[in-house]
Amino acid sequence: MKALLEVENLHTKIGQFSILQGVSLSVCEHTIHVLLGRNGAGKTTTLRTMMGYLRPVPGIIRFEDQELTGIATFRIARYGIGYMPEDHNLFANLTVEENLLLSLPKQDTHVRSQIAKMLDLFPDLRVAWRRPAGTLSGGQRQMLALASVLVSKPRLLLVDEPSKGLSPRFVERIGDALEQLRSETTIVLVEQNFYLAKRIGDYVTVLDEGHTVYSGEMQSFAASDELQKRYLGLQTDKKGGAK
Amino acid sequence: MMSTFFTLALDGISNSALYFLMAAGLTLIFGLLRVINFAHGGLFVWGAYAATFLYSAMHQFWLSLCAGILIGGLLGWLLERGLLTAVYGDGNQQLLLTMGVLILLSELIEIPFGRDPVLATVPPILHHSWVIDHVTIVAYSLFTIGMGACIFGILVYLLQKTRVGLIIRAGVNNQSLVEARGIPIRRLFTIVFLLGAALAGFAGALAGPYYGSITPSMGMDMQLNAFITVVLGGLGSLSGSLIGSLLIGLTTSFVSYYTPSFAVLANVLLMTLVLLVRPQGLFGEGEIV
Ligand SMILES: Nc1ncnc2c1ncn2[C@@H]1O[C@H](COP(=O)(O)OP(=O)(O)O)[C@@H](O)[C@H]1O
Ligand SMILES: [Mg+2]
Repeated sequence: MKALLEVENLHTKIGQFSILQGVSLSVCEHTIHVLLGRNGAGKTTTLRTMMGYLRPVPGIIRFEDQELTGIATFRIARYGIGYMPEDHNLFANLTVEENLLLSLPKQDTHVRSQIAKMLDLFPDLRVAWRRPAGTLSGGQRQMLALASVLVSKPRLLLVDEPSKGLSPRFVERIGDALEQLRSETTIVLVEQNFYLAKRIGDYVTVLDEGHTVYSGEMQSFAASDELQKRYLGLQTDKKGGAK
Repeated sequence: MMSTFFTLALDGISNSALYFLMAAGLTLIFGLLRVINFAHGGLFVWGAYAATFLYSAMHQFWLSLCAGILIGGLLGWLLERGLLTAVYGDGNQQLLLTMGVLILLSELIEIPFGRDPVLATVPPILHHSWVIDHVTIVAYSLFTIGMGACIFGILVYLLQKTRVGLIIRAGVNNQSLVEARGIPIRRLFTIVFLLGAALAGFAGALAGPYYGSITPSMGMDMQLNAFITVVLGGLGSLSGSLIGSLLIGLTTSFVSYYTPSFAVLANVLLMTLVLLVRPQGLFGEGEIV
């Protein structure tokens, strides 16, 4: 299968620090590709580089046949790439409704149906419709953040730790939502919760100290304690509920 | 006694309208671009001269107001595109640069027009005043207040009801996320700066007939009071600018009636007092409207 997103040998500096020093991954259409790695491995920086906030030197990012390196963030978004950052991923001073509306270009004729779809996917948002996003609970915030990326129907979705700080109930809900989306879009998911990653991921890439150290199918990765121990340092228990 | 109070109050409120037009632009520009535009007073003085000379040449009052708006907007556009883009994110550079532009713009005015005050006349339709119960009501003051109120209404509408307003409010909160939504934030910077600059030019155009004469140094004086106004009201807040401009306008009017030389000092004291109690200003940060 031809890759929708092809990332080759990214090297990204922040200030004088070399943060990424060889990140590669290849993402096929309609799959969920999980990025794993310890804290500080460079997962967030990889997504930020893909979105054009940071410029890789050298490095290649190809989306379909379009080279994204050196292109402004807003143009990258317009190619159909949605990004949910790890932090500050919504507009706290805008209402839930306004957060969603902002993602839709004004010439979009399907505003209502798109928004209705998000409310079906995340019913919790319905009750908070006119409240400022800053007043929502942690779970509601993550759902809104995800919904306001999804509402514009991105072809590729970059999601950075959507389950961070959420109770198991909300982690499940986010997982369900992402899984449902596989048929419509393609997802690159940064996820520390290995249980969730294993459940919904098709492919996995592991980063360490700014390098890609492993890439492969999630099924074989999840089945092998050996691989997990080597790349994640995980101590798996009998039930496989590693953390 | 009461009549003096009301006369001064009315004068103070029309003063406030001018401060508000300046402060609104300053606060919007700060909210989005994180730039305190000390050149704002320079746009004000150019607006005043453009309007005054157009009016004395053509006797078209509305056209003269438009000239103020245009010259303010044009200078603002040049300033943002030509100079500010190079120093975004660097507060010290912005301060030096915009201060320098304020001085430059004020000095440039002196070359053709000199330092002496130039007469600015009120157009005949607005050249009225009434005395009711010993309270003097000046038509041009009412007109100035009306203009200030209109602009406040338009800005609130723009921010709350339009897509551009939505994007501005979003940008004030989280710039990089606005970009991720496919919106070019830099274009918005230009729009907001131009809008604020046009308002400063408009304030200048209104101020000429209001003061009766204009001088090259009027921009510097206005800059000081407008700066006090936005800091007092809370940088980045439009409502804060409204309240701040009322406080400063009224204080200026009352204090300069009784002890003219203390007007600026009184405003500075007022600002200091408010900042001691609320360091973020009356309306603080976060909510622009
Ligand atoms: N703005 C920054 N300035 C300096 N170092 C940074 C900055 N952002 C991230 N880093 C460093 O880059 C490394 C990778 O960070 P990040 O991509 O956030 O990791 P992850 O998302 O995998 O936890 C970390 O060591 C972090 O300290
Ligand atoms: Mg991270």
